[in-house]
Amino acid sequence: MLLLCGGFTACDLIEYHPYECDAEGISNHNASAIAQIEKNCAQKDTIRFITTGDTQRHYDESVDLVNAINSQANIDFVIHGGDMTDFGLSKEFTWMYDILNKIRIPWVAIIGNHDCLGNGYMMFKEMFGPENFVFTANFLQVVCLNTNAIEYDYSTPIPNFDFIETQLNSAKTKNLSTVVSMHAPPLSEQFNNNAAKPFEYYLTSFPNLLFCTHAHDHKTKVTDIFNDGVLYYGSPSVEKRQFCLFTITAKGYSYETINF
Amino acid sequence: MKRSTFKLLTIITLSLGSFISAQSQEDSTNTNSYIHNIKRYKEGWERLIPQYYKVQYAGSIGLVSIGVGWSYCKERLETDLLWGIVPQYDDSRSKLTFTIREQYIPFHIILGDTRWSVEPLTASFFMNTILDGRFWEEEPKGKYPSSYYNFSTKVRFNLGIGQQITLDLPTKYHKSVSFYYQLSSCDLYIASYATNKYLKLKDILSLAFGVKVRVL
Repeated sequence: MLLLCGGFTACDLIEYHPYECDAEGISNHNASAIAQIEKNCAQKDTIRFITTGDTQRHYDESVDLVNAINSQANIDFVIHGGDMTDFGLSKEFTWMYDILNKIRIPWVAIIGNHDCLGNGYMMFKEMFGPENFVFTANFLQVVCLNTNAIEYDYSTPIPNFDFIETQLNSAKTKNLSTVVSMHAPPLSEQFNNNAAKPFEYYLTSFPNLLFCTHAHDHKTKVTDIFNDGVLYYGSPSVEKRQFCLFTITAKGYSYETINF
Repeated sequence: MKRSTFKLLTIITLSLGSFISAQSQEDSTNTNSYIHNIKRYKEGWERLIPQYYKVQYAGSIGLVSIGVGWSYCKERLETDLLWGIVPQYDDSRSKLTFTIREQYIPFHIILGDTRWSVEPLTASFFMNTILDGRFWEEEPKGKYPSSYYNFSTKVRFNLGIGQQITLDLPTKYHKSVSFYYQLSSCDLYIASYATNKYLKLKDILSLAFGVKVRVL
């Protein structure tokens, strides 16, 4: 047995179940990343961030992604747009976390539909915190939403309009620009499309909505989903070896894609 | 009484008498075959009495699993049924699982004059199902577009290898005790390992330890 196990200890090999839901002490990652982002960006006039997503079951490419992100200069934060796991398995979360946490700047993760599978949503909640969250980088408010409606059987309000309304009021009172990030975009099969138009209504009510970002479609795309002038920027999946980079100032924003 | 009626009654009485006497002869033969058949019937069902118990630690089917099993084909094949408990950890509840394991044990080596014997290889195939409403065998139709996920969250197919030692120590209650370990991996881990150099064998292997107590 000792010969068989070679250089690693038996302890590493103990697993009670692939869905055992043991976050191994990783807890509330987004909250600590947000604290850093808000502190680092408090005085910045230019905010630069990267969006990526759908890294599921592509560990090799995800390592390359992290190296590519780390080689970029002057980036403030990274948004992972969801689907870090393919099957919602507990180990998939910790494997991917080990890779992504080598990103040297703060990064936050949004829940994807694959991350919800089985008890994956519980694993996500433990590791990253609430599924809807918001942070402020000086003049910019980034609203991150769970949009994986069909995974929840209407037992949880998705998208959560109460949460969106709170951020809407906050953007109005603090005079903030807003970017809305999500995994599945409106009108995709995951979205609660019965609520797509109210969603559009809420988003267009924000005083200065710059654009939305999403993942889920596995390809780089820019769409004006509701033909109302609000652009949705889709991040490619990691095996496309590309990510999106946004530069935002008080005057406007620019968008580019970076290959790696 | 008419003649014809008398004749008819006579015929009925005689035939009834002969039927009854034939019946009693048949009864004794029937009793014998009944005893014989019932013996075979009971023996048939007796084969379903589990021959051994197993208690296992870890191995991706629970923190602790307990169950029963049968061995056949000169003890080269074994079938286990195991029930396991997965602790709650960061989930909202703990979970019960059920496992069917088929094990092939090609060699039984008796160690000299000792009561010990060694099974240097055990090869297993096992299916584990998690008994929890949030997991599905197939993605629910109507909820998802067709072929949306194409895998089961509820059922895991596993392959394992291991070794076992057995101590032939009859007591009032059992014949022998075996100690085993097993290294295994499941379908989804193997699929992930196959396409990623990043994952190492140790990432996808699961170790189990267990005890088997043979009663029959």
